[in-house]
Amino acid sequence: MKEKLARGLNRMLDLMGYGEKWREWKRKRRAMFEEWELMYKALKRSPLAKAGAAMAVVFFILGIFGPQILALINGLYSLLYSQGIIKQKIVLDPYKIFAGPRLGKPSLLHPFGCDEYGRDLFARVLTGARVSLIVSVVVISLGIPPGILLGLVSGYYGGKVDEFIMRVTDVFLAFPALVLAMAIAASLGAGLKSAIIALTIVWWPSYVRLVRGQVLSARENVYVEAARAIGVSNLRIMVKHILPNIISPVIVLATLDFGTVVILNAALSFIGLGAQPPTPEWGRIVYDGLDYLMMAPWYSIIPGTAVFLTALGFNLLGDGLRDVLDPRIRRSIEFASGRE
Amino acid sequence: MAELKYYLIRRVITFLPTVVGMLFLVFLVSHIVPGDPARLWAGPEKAVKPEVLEKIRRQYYLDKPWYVAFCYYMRDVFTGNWGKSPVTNRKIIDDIKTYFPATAELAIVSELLIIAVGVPFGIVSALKRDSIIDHVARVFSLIGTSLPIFLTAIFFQYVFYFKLRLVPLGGRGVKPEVVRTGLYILDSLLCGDWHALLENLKTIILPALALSMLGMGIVTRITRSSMLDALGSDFVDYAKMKGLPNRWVIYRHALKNALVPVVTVLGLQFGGLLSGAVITETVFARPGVGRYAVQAAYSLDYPAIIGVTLLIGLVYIFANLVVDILYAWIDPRVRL
Amino acid sequence: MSRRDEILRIEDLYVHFYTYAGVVKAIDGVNMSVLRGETYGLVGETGCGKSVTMRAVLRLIPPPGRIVKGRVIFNGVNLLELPEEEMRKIRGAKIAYIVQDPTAALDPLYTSGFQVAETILAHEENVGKKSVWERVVSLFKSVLIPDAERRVKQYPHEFSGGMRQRVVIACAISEKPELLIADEPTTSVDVTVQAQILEVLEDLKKTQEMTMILVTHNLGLVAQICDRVGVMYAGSIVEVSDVFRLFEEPLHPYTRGLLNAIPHVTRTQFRLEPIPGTIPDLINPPPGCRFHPRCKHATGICKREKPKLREIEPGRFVACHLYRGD
Repeated sequence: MKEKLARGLNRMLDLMGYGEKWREWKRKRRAMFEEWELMYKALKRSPLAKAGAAMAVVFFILGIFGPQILALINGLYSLLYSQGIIKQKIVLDPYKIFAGPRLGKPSLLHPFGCDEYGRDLFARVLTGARVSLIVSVVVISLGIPPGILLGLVSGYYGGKVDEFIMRVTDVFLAFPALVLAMAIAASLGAGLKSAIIALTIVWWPSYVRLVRGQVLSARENVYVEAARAIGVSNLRIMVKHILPNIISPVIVLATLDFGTVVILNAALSFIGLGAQPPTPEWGRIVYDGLDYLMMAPWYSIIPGTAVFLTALGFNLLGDGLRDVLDPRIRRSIEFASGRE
Repeated sequence: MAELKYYLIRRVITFLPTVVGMLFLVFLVSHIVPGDPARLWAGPEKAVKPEVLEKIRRQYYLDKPWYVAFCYYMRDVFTGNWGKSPVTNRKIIDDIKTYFPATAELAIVSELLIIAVGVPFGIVSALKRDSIIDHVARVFSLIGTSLPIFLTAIFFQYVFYFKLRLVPLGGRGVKPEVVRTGLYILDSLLCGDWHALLENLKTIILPALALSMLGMGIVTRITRSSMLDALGSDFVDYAKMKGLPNRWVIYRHALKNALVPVVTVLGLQFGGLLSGAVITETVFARPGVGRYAVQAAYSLDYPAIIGVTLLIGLVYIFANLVVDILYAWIDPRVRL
Repeated sequence: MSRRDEILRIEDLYVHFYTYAGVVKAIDGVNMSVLRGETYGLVGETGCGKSVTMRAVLRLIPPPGRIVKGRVIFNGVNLLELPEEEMRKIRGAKIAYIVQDPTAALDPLYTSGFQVAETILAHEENVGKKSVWERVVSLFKSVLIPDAERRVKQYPHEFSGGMRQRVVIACAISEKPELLIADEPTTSVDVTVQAQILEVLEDLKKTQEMTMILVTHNLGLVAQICDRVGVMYAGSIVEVSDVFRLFEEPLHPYTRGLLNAIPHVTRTQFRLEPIPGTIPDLINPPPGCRFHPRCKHATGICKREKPKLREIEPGRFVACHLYRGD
């Protein structure tokens, strides 16, 4: 199956005239591809990691297609209404007030119940997935590259540069992430944009540390020395020789961090510094529901559970990936796949 | 032991630049903001009189170059002049003094819970690898690291207060007869006020449990993996070759080595607890600095937020210093 | 075979590792016998199972390895049938082990003196702390660690590689063991220190009347200090001989290959001859004699039947179909 796919892909690229270029590119990055293959094999072996991957995919789908899914359900409702099967005309809309009873219990028509304004919580939680998705994708994709870059430079050059970068990193790491993000978000003025900027600013330092540590050990490898001996430029060594070999722990951490960003963003909104009402944000919905915990526990607990399940999915996935990094487990996978 | 002393002196000296760096970061965050910082410091009211803004500019040295302002700022921080809240018009440092003991108590109890649950759980799970208990520990640590604190807190509150009525809703607990340290549990122990002790324990148990779930998960996992590393290491192997009794091999050699990374993680967790306290205290209406910061955020009381940030940062690096000292005490290699 | 007093006898030992990739048949029917007072050299390539065999003697095969069958008879007792507590009393006291990598073997968190002392305390009851400490100092002196009184209080990271190896030797001889197993004792130290370590070992052996098994891949070392040699290949002993006759006239094709692969001072020789091929895969080992794919004398029977270790002249044993004698 996998081979068929690969062959099909190759043929397609051949037809488009990119086949040779693609294979050349693949050959050059063999180390990276082998890493990915290994990760894939590790994932296939672990049921927990597979469950995590499934949860992460669901999160992405809900985040991307949330409004479409909502529209689909609304279409179904109006069909049922026109047929006279349901008595009320119901539209699931995250913003529409008095769409249902105030603090209504979960029911068939409002599966997650309603909030104190009678807004449908199912629609709000579903739409909230998109907010969380946007925040986590933006923070991860903006926060990690500078971290990798600084870590590479720091570990590769060492000396004064390293000392300086690490001191700065230490200062950032001297704060718990949530607290620093809180201060930054507050000074930028509460809002979704501030939350994203604040989380991005606190995100890079842990990657500097991770990458630096990896570079320090990769630097001693024979292939790096060989590249240096034949006069390959420093930049090229860093990007072409070191980076592909240290990228897998970064991928693992980034996977785990996806969940952490979702949690922290929800926490920022919970504190009142993230997305502002009426934007449906999971953490904020939890906070708003706090006052009604006794009468309407679902109000807070359902969006909270959404955060939990998202984080759990990425944690399971990242954990499965991390197994590959454990040299003992890694060796046995390599051995079993005939790579020794 | 002489080298231990030199190590400590060196460590304290390298600790100072971090403090200065930290102050600089806070200074940066609070002074270089888009728009007019003075307006931000002035508080939530839309229309502020120009003379008030002028006064704030002078008070926070916004009229001076940044490096001069930073020097003044450092002086102010160390002399306890942390600014005034434009909302309540109280001194920030006084508010923090009032609220900090509740947070400190919560964080300490949570840290103790983490140590008491995470470390033994991790050890047992490593010793009985692939047994039921090991699988339970793995699931426990996965759930612990994925649970957002607000969900845990709300869930505990709903079950144990609203449904079972086993514990109070939250709050600060009962003031013991004599207050000396401000940590009510410790104070009621010291003066023998058993009623207050019981009430305070009941008040703190839920927030502390909710707060420590994450740390328990992380510590269980780290302890397990570092214990497994130690059990598979050459020196444990060699200890067996020397014919040492199993008890010595596991507790004297494997465990002590396994604890070295665990101590670091425990220190890092303490910072996590302080930031988690922000949320826990809000859910349980516990009057600590965390709840204070959240109220400040909702009322746009900017100086108060910065004050709490500074406090947590300082406590955090102090905790790291303590960890480093412990580290050097356990591991002789570090002292060099 | 019991012309002289036998201290250790391994019979038909099998050790398998149950890995994710399959069952690694690491030790495949080892037979060996070590006489009291001799220095026995166990040689072979890396990964041929020398260390595993020696660890099997102490019953310390790390998981996922298991001793499948066989007998390890030490002073007339089968160690594999002893209860664990009895076995523990033998480890370190009757049979001591010197490891390959002293840096990894010493616990970094305890002083080197303490690690020697705890060996004594593990095997002797009712000894005073002070007398143990004095013994540790004198042990340090006997392995020629200078400034012993100060050194006992230092941590392993404060020692050089050679000094750490001496600490490990001090541990090993602390209980005056009858059998000393030295597993590549000199591989992790540099050449000048190697000579000193060997000197210490030889001296100790003479003064303490110990039997020693030297595990090594270094044939020079074997020629220098061993009385008898066992050659191991892919999990079995292929040849046993006294050291002179082995170097004079090796019998097994593998031994010959080994000797041709090292430079020789007394012979005029222009090229070193490597043994063709590589060590076999121990998950799916070749049938019959495990050496046959690399052997130039291999015949049909070598592929079918595993040769037994047979005595073909007094004191010389070989496991090869070339010497069937009929």
